[in-house]
Amino acid sequence: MLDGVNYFVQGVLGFLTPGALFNIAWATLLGIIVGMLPGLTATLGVALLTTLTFTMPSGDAILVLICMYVGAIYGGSRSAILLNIPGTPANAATVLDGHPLARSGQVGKAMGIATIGSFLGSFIGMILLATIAPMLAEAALKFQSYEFFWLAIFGIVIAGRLTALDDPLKGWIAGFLGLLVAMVGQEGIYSYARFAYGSTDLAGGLGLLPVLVGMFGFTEILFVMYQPAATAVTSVMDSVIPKAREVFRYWQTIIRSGLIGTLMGLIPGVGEDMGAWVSYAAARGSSKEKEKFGKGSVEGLMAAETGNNAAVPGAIIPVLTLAVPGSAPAAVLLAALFIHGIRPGPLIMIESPSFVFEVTAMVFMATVAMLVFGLLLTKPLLTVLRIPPARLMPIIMVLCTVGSFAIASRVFDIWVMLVFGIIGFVLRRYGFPLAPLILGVVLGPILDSNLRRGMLLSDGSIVPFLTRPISLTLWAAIAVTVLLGIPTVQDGLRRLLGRRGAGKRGDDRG
Amino acid sequence: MTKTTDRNAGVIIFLFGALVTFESWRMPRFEKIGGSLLNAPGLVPGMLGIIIAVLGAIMVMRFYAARRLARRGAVAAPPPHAVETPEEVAAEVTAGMQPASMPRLLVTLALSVLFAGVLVGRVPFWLAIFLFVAASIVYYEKDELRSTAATARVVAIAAAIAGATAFAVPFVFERLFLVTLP
Repeated sequence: MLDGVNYFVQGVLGFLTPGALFNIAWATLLGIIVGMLPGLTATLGVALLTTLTFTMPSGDAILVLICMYVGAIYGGSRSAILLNIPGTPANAATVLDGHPLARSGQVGKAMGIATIGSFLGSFIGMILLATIAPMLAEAALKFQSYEFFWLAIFGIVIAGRLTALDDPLKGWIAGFLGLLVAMVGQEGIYSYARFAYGSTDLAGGLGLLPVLVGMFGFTEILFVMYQPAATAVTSVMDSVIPKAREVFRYWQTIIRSGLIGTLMGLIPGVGEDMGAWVSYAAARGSSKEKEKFGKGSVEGLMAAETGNNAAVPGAIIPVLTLAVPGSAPAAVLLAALFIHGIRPGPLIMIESPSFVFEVTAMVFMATVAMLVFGLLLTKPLLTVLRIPPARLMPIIMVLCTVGSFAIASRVFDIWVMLVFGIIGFVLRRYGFPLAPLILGVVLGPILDSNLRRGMLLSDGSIVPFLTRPISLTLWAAIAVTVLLGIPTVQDGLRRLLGRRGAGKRGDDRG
Repeated sequence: MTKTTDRNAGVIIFLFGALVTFESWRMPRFEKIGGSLLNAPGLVPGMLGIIIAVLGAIMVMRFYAARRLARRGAVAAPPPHAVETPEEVAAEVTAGMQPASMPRLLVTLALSVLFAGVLVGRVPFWLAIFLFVAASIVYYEKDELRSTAATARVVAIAAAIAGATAFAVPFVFERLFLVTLP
């Protein structure tokens, strides 16, 4: 524990150099701007910035990417409050109370609450990152091929369930399609080029970054140009800095949202938008002012923004300890770690014990920068929202092209970006979520290699897959998640719980 | 949840899954060098193909089951949510959007494919950027082209933004960050 604190302090002190502070400043500010602009997501921001970091030292590169990530998740609250349009999917819950507050003339208050909520959420998540990551890494040392196989399936099932609440079947289809995308190219045992059909480009596989830039970049451009947002920006009139008692009056909501957000980030593929929604729902359920929710509730806004920013460090926990992303931007961060020669996974606390705490220090610095820019640059940042999408989207398309090409210098990757952008548009248009698909692309190689290795180790027996304690827990969790996603089962449970509640009330009266 | 588009999507997904399963079955098993079905290249893709086909079939069956229920008049109302789901909010926030436009979408697609798929690699990158950005802005702002003066203004703005982008992107990526561009 003391070693961890020591590493953290050393990490923070290491970032107090002019060069590091400059990187923190521009990356966080750029992240806030990316998050603010509808059509740009945190995922795309981190992906495009990864391209710029190829020649940077690994520490600087990861710092810059984390600053972009933290800034972008916060930045989306601006357009959610001012335009009634979430800048990123993670800020969709912010719209519910942020925009009504803005309409009632309390724009500054809304942005101040969102900023403080984001800061506190990120701070709580950061503390949990430092405490949970080492424990999870130690537990993950017990994972063998069997457990990693089930973890990959669990990630898809839970991500599909939670990212498509109205129709988990579509979430699962998207997830398994993502796993299939990862199968294209040479496999690890015989180097056989699957689904290549003689093409050397396909034999090299479909890279994660071009697929991701396509689905979170080009798809977004197509949607924005298909239906641009109405840009009605309100001027800020009241004070941005909220009163301390106004914030800490909701201390229970803040802590609960921070914990929930971190947990949602920890679950593979679920991410910041569920961090916001589940925190918001929990706050509304336990609030003494339920009737204000949806009409400009400070508590609701606080819960949403605390939850979504807490999910950022939460999503980084499985990246570092299991090499499994907790969210789509975390998937890019994972790819960036590999590009820069860092090997996340269960051995991280053995091979580089200080790295987890250095990342914690990076989150801390990004969080502080976000707070400073968020409170001080309110009016200047408003000008960003006045940029017409028609002038911005072509520039974003250029950056998507560069971002896809730069990874492996293959023109083929540009075509991958285009094709997956179109696929992403069609899928989203018909209600299929994209986050499970991206998670599938990341988890596909883990699923493939661990299933085949496990079958080799067990001489073809599936018994170890089903009976080892962690494997048993994981596949039981998968079965429960799938069952709970079936409407018939949900209706049955609802009737059962309703009957028990009525019975209990009868017993109490009797 | 039970729209015709879901049924059609289910059919396509089922057929796709079946095709993947078939192609996976056709992959070699390398038995001559000690391989078996258990570690064959087609094992995992085949499993995924079967799962995807099953999920597609469930989508189709779900559509017909819901239609049968609707015809019997026994349509269950969806359970009330304690708070709006992300999908419901998405439907609400489209109230803050301009009308959807298929022509604008198709032109965006065409220009993007022309830029990224055709021009890039065949002409200098800065020129491809300039042509694409300028053409896109002029198209998207075509409603402003009401007079010669307005047209000149739009074209000048488009050229300025395109020129700035054509300069800045190669400069930042190649010169500052040493990234290879097409």
